Amino acid sequence: MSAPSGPKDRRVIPRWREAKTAVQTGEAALINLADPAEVDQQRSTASLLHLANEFQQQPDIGRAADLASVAQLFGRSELAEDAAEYLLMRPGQTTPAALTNARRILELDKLGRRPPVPNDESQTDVDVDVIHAEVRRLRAKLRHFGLNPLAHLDLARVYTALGQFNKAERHLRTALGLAPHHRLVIRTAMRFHLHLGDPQAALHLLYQHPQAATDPWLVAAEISTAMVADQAPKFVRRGRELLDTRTQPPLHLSELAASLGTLELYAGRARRARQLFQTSMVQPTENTVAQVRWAQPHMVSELIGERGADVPRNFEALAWQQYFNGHFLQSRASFMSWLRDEPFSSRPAHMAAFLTDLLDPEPQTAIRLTRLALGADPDDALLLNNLAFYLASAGELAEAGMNVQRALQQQPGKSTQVALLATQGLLAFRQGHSVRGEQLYLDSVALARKEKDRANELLAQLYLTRERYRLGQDSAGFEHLMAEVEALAEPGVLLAARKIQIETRPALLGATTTGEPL
Amino acid sequence: MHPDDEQAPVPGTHPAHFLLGLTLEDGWQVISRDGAEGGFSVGYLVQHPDGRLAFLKAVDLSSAFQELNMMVALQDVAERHNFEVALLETCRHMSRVVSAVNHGQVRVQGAPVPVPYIILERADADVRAHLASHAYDAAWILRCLHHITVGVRQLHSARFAHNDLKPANVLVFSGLGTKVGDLGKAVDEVGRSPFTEENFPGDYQYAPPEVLYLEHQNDLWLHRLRCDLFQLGGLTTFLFTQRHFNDFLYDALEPSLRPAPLNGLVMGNFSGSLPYLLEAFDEALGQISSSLSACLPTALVAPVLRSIQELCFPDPVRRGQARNASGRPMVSLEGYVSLYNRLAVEAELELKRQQRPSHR
Repeated sequence: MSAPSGPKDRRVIPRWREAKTAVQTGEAALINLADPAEVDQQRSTASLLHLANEFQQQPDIGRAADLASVAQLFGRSELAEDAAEYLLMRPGQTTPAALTNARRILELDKLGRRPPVPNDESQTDVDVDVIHAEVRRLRAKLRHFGLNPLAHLDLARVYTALGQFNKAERHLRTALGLAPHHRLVIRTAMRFHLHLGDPQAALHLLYQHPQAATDPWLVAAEISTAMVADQAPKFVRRGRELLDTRTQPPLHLSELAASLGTLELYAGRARRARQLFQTSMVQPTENTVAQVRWAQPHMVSELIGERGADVPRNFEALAWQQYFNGHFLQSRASFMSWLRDEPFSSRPAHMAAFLTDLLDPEPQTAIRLTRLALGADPDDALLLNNLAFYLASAGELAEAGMNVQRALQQQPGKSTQVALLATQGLLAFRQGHSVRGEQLYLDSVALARKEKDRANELLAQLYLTRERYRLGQDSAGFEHLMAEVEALAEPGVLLAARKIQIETRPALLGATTTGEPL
Repeated sequence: MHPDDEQAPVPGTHPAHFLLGLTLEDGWQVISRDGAEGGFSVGYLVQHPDGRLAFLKAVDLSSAFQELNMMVALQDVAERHNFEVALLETCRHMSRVVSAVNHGQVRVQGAPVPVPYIILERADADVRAHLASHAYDAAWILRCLHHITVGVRQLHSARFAHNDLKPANVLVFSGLGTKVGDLGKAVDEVGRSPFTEENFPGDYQYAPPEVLYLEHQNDLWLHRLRCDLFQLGGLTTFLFTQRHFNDFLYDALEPSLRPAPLNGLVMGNFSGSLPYLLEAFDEALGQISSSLSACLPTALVAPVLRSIQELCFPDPVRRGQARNASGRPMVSLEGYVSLYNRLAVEAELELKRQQRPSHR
């Protein structure tokens, strides 16, 4: 297992949530807002009043239902209360739909009812079975009505989470065919190509859009995607103009400002970046909050303040904040919520699994979460290593060994090599080859030391101590190791140390992991 | 809240309000007030010496006199009246459109100006008055829909679009069935209608999404026909469920995406709204399907739902039945005339089977 760190690089890549959620968070909100002065409300009100007068003069079921339905449509229930009562008093002459409407108008269903308990999403499971169930639901929905582009986007999203990229692409193409110039569809398709590591395809798609240079959400996506592609963005000047003219509401400019801020930050212009991040936080999206939180260490002063906490679905920024503050239970819940939003994203799955392994007595949930992440990212060496680690901890040594081999085939980077050596050490110990296991752990420690990767060096030492303890060997020096861990103050390493301390020194502690700050 | 609290009716002073007791040309006698007053008209029940009853619609100019630009308002009222008279003349032969019996003008004693009027066939009532007794009568509703569709098709064949199809304008005649009434907001293909300049002359609550999201229409005539299709689907929904299609649709739409004419926030941007409307449409169809299941024989639910799906499709380009080789939907109503007739016959036969006494 490897000690996690916050993201080294981060751009304002479009989110890919369920379409309904994207509407609620504002990402899919429409820009053309009504000026009340321009709207002919008189025409609507006049026709509603006409229906109300008709009902008053000659009440009957049809007029009552007509009035009740139109009043509900215009949000003017108060004009149809008599009509609603009339319907409810004659249930045999009307329909269930009209009766439901009447009850809503009179707010009868609210009487004597307890306020609904808020749905704690963090408790809902997310794993491969849940995703498969979602595939079945969406396929049935599309069988019934196949011309719904948002349902195609949602199905593509869950297929991506399962790693079925051809099917996902097919549904994205259908969505693009049904709504070729729609912002949410374009941004989603771009996100898909970015997930597959093909930013050029994402940009190609964007440049075909007629409003690519005028819609701030698309300009933001272009700048961030071009940065991923390591090429100069085309719409920087246009983006600055959009920010300067401020003809759009602040929410619609938030990600654009954050993208431009990130560009400035990478160019080394921290002062200009700071101004842009400040602009992005006037009415931020959660993606902006996460970006600004990521950029915070490079800034001179605090940018987020209280505002970040109010933003809906602010799971990513919150999860990291809780993690670095040592609030591990809350952090795991936030990573799980982020994973539910983006089940194809390996980062929240990786972190949720890491924390779950350290907080739960058994590694089964960590295994499920890592398998889910591997579905969308099957060649990720670090995920393969972590899965091997959890499997080995659960005693499933053969499968753990296969995952180690697969990870080694991916040409992993140095920090993953450190983790892989340690995992191979664990496997050797659990297979009864303690000498070889000891050596592999020591190799891992040496490589980490060479790479100045202090967190993984300590982590390898901690797990080596645990394996020695399991064999009944003396674990002297553990106190010294703990002191080094506390001096480093890296949250993941501290949590691992705490767990190993409980396993190897139960008499000293007598407590279970609480997830509270250490 | 009482509607009077918002807008108290002002008693009319125009001569159109004083026709009671008068005898008109051809011997028609005004015997009572009939129906609610519209913005520019007053309704009366009239009787011919041969005993026939009819509905008289008298033009009330008082609202026009109160307009800032009275002359323009008067011209508008005159144009509307003349167009309606001409239209009713054209529609005289149409079996499913309420036709004019007579028209002319009458002078009230002491009044400086005469009152123009139209005498129309008199219905028993509009369809809403019959819903209490036919709430679960699929055969009656389907026959009613068949008649309405024939009426709208007859108008389309004469190159007119109704554009104000709503429950109040579906009139029921004893022994004759249903006819489409109130052509006051109809528009024609060549642009003689006083509403030619308006994108949509009808009420917003029955309007299709392209109207509510202010989508520019290149082909106005096609747009008019598609509005009629949407309103026909809306009537189908209302007659079966007693809730308007738009009520189902916008109830399923995220509130922040509602259009300004429905007290929402969004002004225009139809293409941006369309994917969300399609999602809401999908959900609305699910609700309508449940409601239909409660009042229709199982075998009829799917075809009726399909007709609503085609007629009320939020994207006007895909609205209507796919008929031609390219699969593009057409605005023709022929298919719906046949469909509703066939379904009405099936429902009638089913009803007859149920009413037949058992021989065992």
